[in-house]
Amino acid sequence: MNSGDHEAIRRVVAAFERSDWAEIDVRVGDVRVHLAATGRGPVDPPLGSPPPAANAAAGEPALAVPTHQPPAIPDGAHVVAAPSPGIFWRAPQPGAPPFAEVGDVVEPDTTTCIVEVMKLMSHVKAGVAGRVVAVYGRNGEAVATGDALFAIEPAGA
Amino acid sequence: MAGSGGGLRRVLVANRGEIAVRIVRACRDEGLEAVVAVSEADRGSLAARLADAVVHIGPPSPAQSYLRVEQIVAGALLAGCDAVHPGYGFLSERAELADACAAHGLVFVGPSADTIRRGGDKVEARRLAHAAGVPTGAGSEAVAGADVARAVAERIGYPILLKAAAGGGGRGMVLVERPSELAERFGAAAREADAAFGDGRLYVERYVANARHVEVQLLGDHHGNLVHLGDRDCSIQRRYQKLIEEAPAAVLPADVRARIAEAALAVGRQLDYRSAGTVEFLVDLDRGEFAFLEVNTRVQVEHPVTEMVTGIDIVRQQLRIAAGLPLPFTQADVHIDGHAIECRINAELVADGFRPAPGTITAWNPPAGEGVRVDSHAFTGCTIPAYYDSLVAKVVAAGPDRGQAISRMVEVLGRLEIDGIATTRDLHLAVLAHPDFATDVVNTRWLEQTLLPALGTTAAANNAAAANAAANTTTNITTGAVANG
Repeated sequence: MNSGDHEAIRRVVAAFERSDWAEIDVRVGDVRVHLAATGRGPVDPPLGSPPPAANAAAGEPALAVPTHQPPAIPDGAHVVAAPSPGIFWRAPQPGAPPFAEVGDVVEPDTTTCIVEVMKLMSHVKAGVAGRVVAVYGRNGEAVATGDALFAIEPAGA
Repeated sequence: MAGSGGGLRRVLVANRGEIAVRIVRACRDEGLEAVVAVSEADRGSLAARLADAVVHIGPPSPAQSYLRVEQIVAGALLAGCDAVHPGYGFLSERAELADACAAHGLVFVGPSADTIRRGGDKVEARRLAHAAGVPTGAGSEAVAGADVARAVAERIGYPILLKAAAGGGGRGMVLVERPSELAERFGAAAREADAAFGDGRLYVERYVANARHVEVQLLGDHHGNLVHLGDRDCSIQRRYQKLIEEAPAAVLPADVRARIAEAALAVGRQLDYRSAGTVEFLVDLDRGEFAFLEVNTRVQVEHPVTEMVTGIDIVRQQLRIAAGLPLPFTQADVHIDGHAIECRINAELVADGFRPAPGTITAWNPPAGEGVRVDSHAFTGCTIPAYYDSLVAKVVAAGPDRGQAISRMVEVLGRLEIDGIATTRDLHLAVLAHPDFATDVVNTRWLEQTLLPALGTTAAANNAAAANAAANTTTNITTGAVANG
């Protein structure tokens, strides 16, 4: 850190204070500034997004890369997996209810989510009749081929 | 000129892909430092490697990174930048970014927020073009409902297009061929527009079956100068997305060319245009008329073809204009010399209905030589991520005339080596080899109606669609920013 860094951080904090931004988190080199304000919630918070942290830190490591631990799949459950890499969308549009929630009863051709690949929207079907028992994907986040998105308890199981 | 002067020193490139590389190079040429904003997916990008510094702005999803105004502005401030270049797509036509830059002491490399707002609202832009005496084609202002749309359609005749007021760039358009389809399509189009743009207003335009897409490049500065850099033809399209662009639009008779350029300038004057921008027109080949389509208040994907035939660096001029410098030339200094063609090489599997084909490029060897230019962010070992658009490279070839430009492009594409991912290169070669393209008798529907059926690609696409329908369905409704030109 040098004095230029301090000046730059001051500019960011000052901008945050006079704006209505809910949260910023930016990093240049080993200088990271993460600011969040309570009561300025995002207009359209991503479903399942982590709660914003409230700290201003410098010198922290790189922005965390989401680590996709393989989730524990309930015994006998059918897994709806990402058909390709892309971006996972739980609802057809911002603000709309999700395609599928825990507890929902689905048919094989029920759309559970969208995976967006290079701007193309792929509707991912449940594949089996049953009940949604877990949602693994987080709205708006990147997924890789084969990532578990939902677990479905097959009907009659 | 050693630098852009006007106090600019360090520019944040708020974009990715080939245009981020392009802007970094223009900054270098103007003696400016370039900082590139990167998502986690773009940490190792070519633009990041070339930049003086990199600012990390969030996860791969555009909604969490490139589309967040506050992340861009905070990133610019933290990186010590004094200006923000938005490129195309993403936030480039969001007045909120221009406003936020102004509020936080940053120069926005683009037109004013007011110009972006008025130019970006398609209904307002149509009204403004009409006020400037520019033909707007048969159609309407925003319509209140399907019944009003029906009355307009009966007046101007079917088929019609329902277009989203907040759309543009080929997004938010629905074709209605007969009255029986109107009510249902209107409802669906309004819902889609509301979902994609947060604005469900629709207007009606006559659908022109035999149309060419022609656009005019503008440059305006803060000193009252506004010039055009000639026209481009972007009629080779699929699903309203441009694949091949040319400068000039060889199909235009000289008198129509002059009138279109004047019309573009008139629209630019109405908008008090102060940056690089484009006015798009539809040329109706059957009626011999042209009509205003929309304004793009940013640099276009296809700007290189204009640069090739004018010798004017549009991105450098954007930076200089933003820095407050006057244009260093007048209209009389702008000359169109020869012909240039651009092919957009996308990571898509044509034989499978243009299925997106992200992946890692295992070998990359772009052609070079006289009259050849390749704008790309590719390198051997780079990844084309699934999270963004499929553009891999813009291959540009120029020649003394259109025929020689085509010959050079055929030769150049033959030498373009991209391994590891599927690309649209061979489709471009098929277009270039077609007699309709050579004689320039195509229209905006030609690729889908003539070429793809001839290649058997429609059948493949339909099979793919059927297979998709059995498993997953695919639509191309876009919610985010599309890197269209």
